[in-house]
Amino acid sequence: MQKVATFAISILIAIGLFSALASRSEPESSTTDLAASDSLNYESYSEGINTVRFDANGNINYTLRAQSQIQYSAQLTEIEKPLIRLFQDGNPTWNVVADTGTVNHFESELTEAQVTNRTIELSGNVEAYSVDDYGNRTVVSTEILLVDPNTEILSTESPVKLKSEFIEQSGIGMLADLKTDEVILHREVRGIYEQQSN
Amino acid sequence: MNNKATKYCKLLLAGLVFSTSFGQRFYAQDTLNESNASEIPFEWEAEGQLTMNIVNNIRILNLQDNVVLFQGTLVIKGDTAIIEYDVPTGEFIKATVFGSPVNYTQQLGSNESQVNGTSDSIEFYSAESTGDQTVELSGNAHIESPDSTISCAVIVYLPSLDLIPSTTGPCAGTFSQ
Repeated sequence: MQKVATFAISILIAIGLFSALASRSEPESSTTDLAASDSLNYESYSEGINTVRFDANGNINYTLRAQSQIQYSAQLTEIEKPLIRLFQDGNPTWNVVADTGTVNHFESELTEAQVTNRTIELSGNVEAYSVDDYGNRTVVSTEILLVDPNTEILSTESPVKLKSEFIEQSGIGMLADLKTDEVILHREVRGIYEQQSN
Repeated sequence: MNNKATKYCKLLLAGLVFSTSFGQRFYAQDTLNESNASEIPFEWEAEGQLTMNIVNNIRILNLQDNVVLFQGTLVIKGDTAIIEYDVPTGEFIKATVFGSPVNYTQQLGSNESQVNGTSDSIEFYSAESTGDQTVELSGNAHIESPDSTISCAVIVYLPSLDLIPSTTGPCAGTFSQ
């Protein structure tokens, strides 16, 4: 009789321990499920993007084309194979292409002024190119480039190359103001001027 | 007939190879001279910042910190530099180097003779009238070439001719032939 009672008590203790361990592991599995669902939490997915942005005067400020777009939130959008075309006084000036890009929106777009506050960070084979009034083509190449379409300022901390008809230059870091045609390479600058003879 | 044609072709080929290698050796030297100056690339380096902007259709490059300009055997070293070129044509206009002092060196011809110079600033350009490559040393200018050693306020030097066509005094030094 005493043996049966001891055995029964042992069984009950074992069941109690097992239940306690099982209940402790459940929250972890639910946490993992939550983490997995967060990574898929995007608001919209689109293909064949073609966006036109206008300034306060009704002129085209810039256009943005992309192969596809994933909008994660009101402040963040990722784009594939973007092409940005910048305009001045209604005329196209610079084209910028890359493998991928991230569009950052500042705050919520409550007012007209805030609608235009956005920057685009481009990465992977980034090229910005332009043809001036004399037919001279300039190409800027880098791996990462921050584009502010409103101020028309391009910036990077990465190595960058600038190539025009007779001149090729390289450096580390760049700030380019496309409106004033001023370009700054931050350091370790190299350049070569070579006129091709016919 | 076939043997003659083959022999002729071999001679022609040998002649082409010989003339090509001779021509390459003859023109291989990258010493600056009047006939090929525009064909030799003009290069620059700087450790610091480069600023580019446009003023009156002239693209102006400002270089900072340990600037080196070189074209063939010509080397100019200084603290800062300004390079100018014409926007419509893309043609190089001039380069001006500033330093404490600016150093200039260049090998002359194929006989390995050398010219050395120092000054507060050096301008490098092509003379408008003749197209001669010109090195103009200004401010405490001093130059040592195979034919002369001279110090002046300003010295204008033509490397392709090893010639000092003009100076601005006071000057001191010697010319030799």
